[in-house]
Amino acid sequence: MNSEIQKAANAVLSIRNLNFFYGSYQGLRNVNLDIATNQVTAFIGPSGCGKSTLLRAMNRMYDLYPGQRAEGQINFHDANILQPSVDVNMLRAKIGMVFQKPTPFPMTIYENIAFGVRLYESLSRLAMDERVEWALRKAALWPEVSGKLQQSGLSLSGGQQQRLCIARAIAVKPEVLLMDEPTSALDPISTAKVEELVRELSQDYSIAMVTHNMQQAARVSNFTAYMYLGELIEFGATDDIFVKPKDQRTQDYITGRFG
Amino acid sequence: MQHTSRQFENEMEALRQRVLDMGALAGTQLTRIQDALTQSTLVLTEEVMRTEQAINTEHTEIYALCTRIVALRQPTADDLRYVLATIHIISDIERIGDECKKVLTKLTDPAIAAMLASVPEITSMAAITCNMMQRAIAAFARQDAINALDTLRMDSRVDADYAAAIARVSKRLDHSKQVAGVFIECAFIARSIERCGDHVKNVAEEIVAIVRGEDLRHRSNITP
Repeated sequence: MNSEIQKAANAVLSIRNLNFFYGSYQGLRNVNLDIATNQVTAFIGPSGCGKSTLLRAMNRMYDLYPGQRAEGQINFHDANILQPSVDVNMLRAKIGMVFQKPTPFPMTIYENIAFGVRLYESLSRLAMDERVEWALRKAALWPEVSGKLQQSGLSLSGGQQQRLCIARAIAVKPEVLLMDEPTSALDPISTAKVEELVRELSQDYSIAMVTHNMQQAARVSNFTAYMYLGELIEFGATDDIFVKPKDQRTQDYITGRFG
Repeated sequence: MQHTSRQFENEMEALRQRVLDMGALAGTQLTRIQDALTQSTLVLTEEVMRTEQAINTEHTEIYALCTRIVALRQPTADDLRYVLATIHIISDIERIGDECKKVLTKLTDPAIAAMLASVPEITSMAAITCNMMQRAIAAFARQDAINALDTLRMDSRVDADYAAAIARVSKRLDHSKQVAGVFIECAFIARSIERCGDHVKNVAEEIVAIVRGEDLRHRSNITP
């Protein structure tokens, strides 16, 4: 019990009794879990297990789709973000998201970053330049693009585009980064760069990441959650989950004995 | 439940089978020691050396198989524990093979054989170690932590016999006109068998590590 309280004290997001519905279909069943501050939490599980649904609940991404609704609590700074009164635009600035496929805007590299920042802050030209450079440096992309900020974001390679999207997400100074299979469309070298970046970013941000690559979860995360059929089956330190999982279902999945 | 990848499943099964084969070879050597001590069975050096060679070959090849599985399959959880434990287990079995070869080579000396026959504790050690080895192999085959724990507890009897054997040999050394070399060889043989017991104990500990994920090494109080 003591450790429970301690865990909650370090949590940036506390998910309590979360249920999620796609119309009449229930996608998540009574999920309870904490996303730890400045740590990487990975979500693994077979397709359709609810891991992306859970991630999308964390910044109300589902609001964009009619018929989808969440019940329960996702507490962020002592407020339940599922409350209708929450300003979802502000919420998504604080809880940013990076998607599976790189989605740069059809704008210059510079504007890809500056566009989002302008929605929340009015910065001087100089301050904006600094912010763009800061975000690109944080995303380990600056050395590759510093000389071509006015080129289209779409001119970059897939791996660079994904890091541009990460830079765009962190440019608005979020607290949490949600990453939905951020490397599944990337080659191994770009994947390694993004993984290294995730590790570094976790010093400043709390990261929740969905991945189909279990070795990736093992490599980059501090905590791992295994989900199946909309339920959280096991959640714990990544070292424990991959060496000595407690639940047979987790063991079967991570050792490749799944159906 | 079986792995989704049939090939991975086959590799793990092949690994299991080969460890059992290697264990059986070491078990044969231990049985030869026991037979030589209790039934004065003649030690056939050529057969002993052939078995020893086979154990070494298994050691090299199983190690290569483990390396391959780690590199290509990145095993996790019980699979990971299984492969890592196997690397330790084959190394213990290989050492059992070495100790057995030493003992069996010395047993061809009639003077040593005669002296050994008069030290019942050494015969007892050989019998217990032989039994431990058989149990350890069976426990590995069935992934049976309970029997593995039973097996590793038997080692204390080997240790007690060893102490008694050394005491008995030392006492005789004082009163005997026989050359000291024979006594020393007997003590070495007792030592080798004692080491075999330790190695089987390690194997049993590794089996518990696979099944339960518990590390029993260097722990004095082992509860079931």
